This record gives sequence, C-alpha cells and structure tokens, in this order.
Amino acid sequence: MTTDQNKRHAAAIRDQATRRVRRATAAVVAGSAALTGLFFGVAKASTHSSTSTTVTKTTATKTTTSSGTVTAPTPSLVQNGNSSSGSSSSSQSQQSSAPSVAQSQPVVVSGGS
Amino acid sequence: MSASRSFSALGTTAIVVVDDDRRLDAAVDLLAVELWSIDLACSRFRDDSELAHVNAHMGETVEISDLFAAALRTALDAAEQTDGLVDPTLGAHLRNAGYDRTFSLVRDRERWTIEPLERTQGQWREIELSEHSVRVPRGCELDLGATAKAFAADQAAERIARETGTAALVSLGGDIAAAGDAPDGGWCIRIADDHGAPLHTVGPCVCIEAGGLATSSTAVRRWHTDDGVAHHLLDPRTGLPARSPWRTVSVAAQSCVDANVASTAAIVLGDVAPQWLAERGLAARLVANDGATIHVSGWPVELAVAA
Repeated sequence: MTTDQNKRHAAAIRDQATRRVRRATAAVVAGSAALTGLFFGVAKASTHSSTSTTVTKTTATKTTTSSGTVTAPTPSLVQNGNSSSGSSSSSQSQQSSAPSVAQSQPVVVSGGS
Repeated sequence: MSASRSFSALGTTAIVVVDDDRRLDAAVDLLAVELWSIDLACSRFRDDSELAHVNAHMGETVEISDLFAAALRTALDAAEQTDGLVDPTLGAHLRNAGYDRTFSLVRDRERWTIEPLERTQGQWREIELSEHSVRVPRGCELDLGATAKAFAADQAAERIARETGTAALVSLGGDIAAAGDAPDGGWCIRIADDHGAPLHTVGPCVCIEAGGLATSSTAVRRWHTDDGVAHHLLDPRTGLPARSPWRTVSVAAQSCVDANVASTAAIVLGDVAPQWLAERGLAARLVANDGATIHVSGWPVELAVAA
C-alpha cells in the first residue's frame, strides 16, 4: 500500500473504533434518560407535597441559580464522584470506583511515568 | 484464571490484565491497535502525527480524525473542569523546559537552559473544535500528554472488555483503567512513586472494581537544567515545572481520565490540593516531598502486601 493508503487505512480503523464508543455512549444516555423519566414519574405520583426546583447553570467563571445568587467558581470535575469526562461505561457507572483495602496480590503498579 | 502481558508503547510501559487468560492474546492485539492509533494521532514526537500537523498549521482550520477530535475534546474538557490547571496548550513551554524529544534522549542530555518564555493563560478557550476540524490560535502549541494516555487506557480497557467478554485492566505508565466485571475483591494495585517499581515487593496496595486510578509524580520524569532539576508537570500559570509540596498524588475516579486529570491538578494546585480533592469526593493519596502521606475522601488504610 502507498503512504496515502496507509494513512487512510489508519484513519478508517480509528474512526471505526470511535464510532463504536459513540454507539455505546448513546445507549448509556438513552438508558439514563429513560430512568430519569421513570423516577420523575414515581416522584410525581408520590404522596409528598410538591417542592420547588432550583435550576443551576454552571459556567467556567461563575455559578448562577434561579434566585440570582452568584457564588464562587466551582470547577466541576467529578464532583462527589460523578464522572464528567463522558468516558465512563455503563458497567463502570454501576460499580464503585472507590478503592478498597487490598486483599490479594497486586497485578500492576500505579506510579509516575 | 487471570493473565497479563506488558510491552513498550507511547514511551512507557503498557500492561493488559484479563480475568480470563484465554482472552489474553486477543486483548493484547486490541490494546496494540488502540495504542498505535493514539500514537499516530497524538504523539508530539512523530512528524506524521495529527498533532504535529495541527501544530504546524496554527491559525488555520485543519481537518482531523474522529479519534484526534475525541482526544482533544477530552483535553479541553479537562481544562474546563480544572479551570485551566490541566492545560493542553503547553507544548512550546514543555519544549522550552527541555522536554523537546523522547524522554530517553532528554534524560541523557547533560545540560539545558530554560529561556524566559511568555505565557498567555487561557488560550485553550480560543481553540475552535468541531466534529471534523479544529482551528488553534497562532502561538498556541498543543500537547495532549496530560490526558492522552489516560484517554487511551479508558478506550482500550472498554474495548477489550466489550470485544473479548472478559474483565480487563489496562495500565499505561501507571495510568490504569478497568472495565467489565472485576474479579472478586477487585483489581489489586500497588501504589508507588514510579510505575516501574517492582510489583512483588512490600508496599501500599489498594483494590478497585471499576473506573480508573492514576498517579502523577514529579519524582520520575526529571532532567537536569542549568537552574536545577526540572520535571514534566508544568504549572500553566507560569509555564514552568510546578513547584509543588507533593511529589506524588494518586487518585481513584470513575474513569482513568478523571483520575489522571485530578492527580495532575493536585500536583499543580499545591497546598490546597487535599481540600480540592475532598470537595469533589475523590479518593486520593498524596505524598509530600518529605514522604509524609495524606489520605483523602476515604482512601483506605493500605496494607503493605508482600510477594
């Protein structure tokens, strides 16, 4: 193959892999939306009195609430353990990412590189 | 029965561990393809990489692959989420600091002078990224080293678990991603300053079931300059190697990218890093330059597991 063909082949392999990831992500998003709707319906049908909802819009520079309050910048990286990179899988989100005490032999080393 | 294999890639060590040893060969093949692709897209040391192409055409709109777009999007998200503590526009400053070639060559060089170099903060906000193209402002040299390895680890682990049907753990230079149903008790990981430390020696160990665990350290990728020892973790506010009270920070999160971004940001942040990590509920272990250790957000008391 020529150099151009090699590059096109390489790009095709990469793009194919990324498309697969996108399909998986779309499935996760669809599942999340369905669960959100389900829980909303359950909450709406509950006997609790209705409560007001505060919508919070976060930007890189300030946080604004519906009441007009402006607070200090709050970087949103994985607040309270919620992933924001979009790279977590459905299986990851169902399992805990918190480390626990080791009970077996290590399989790899995490360290600087 | 689990099995693992390691090989050199991306200027570091790649390791894949699978829960079903019959899937190891397939897992290795998948990892190799992923790493070959990410290297071709994001390497700073290849003239034929997309990153090199984009850096050679600052100020112009350049067509890019889906993979490069995803890697750059991840880097820009990291900058957004850390308010610029992890910045993908430090390419020129890394070169100026001496990291201008593969690290084995940098390490062997006898001397280097860091010249004064103007730093414009927040240039990452001016990068125009769309699905198939990017425009980088003039004077804004990309380096995706802070996130590309972790991004690749997440992608590879997920793909291996999906396509082989077995749980997989991928480590790229100590940035670790897990996918699939982990073995009972989770994956056990030794924590060290250097990912090249021996596996079977006494040392702190923890287990994860999913997500990622990453360690950033100023103790490993170091080289000599006329102003003293430099390292590869730059402070975007100065464009110089970060002067941090921490030599090593390990973080567990829901993905390797999140863990790596947080551990890097913690090194850059300095004294307030424990609070910053705690506010985000991120379990972390910070090692001060004098060796003192701080645990945050439920990082467990480690057992020193010996071989």
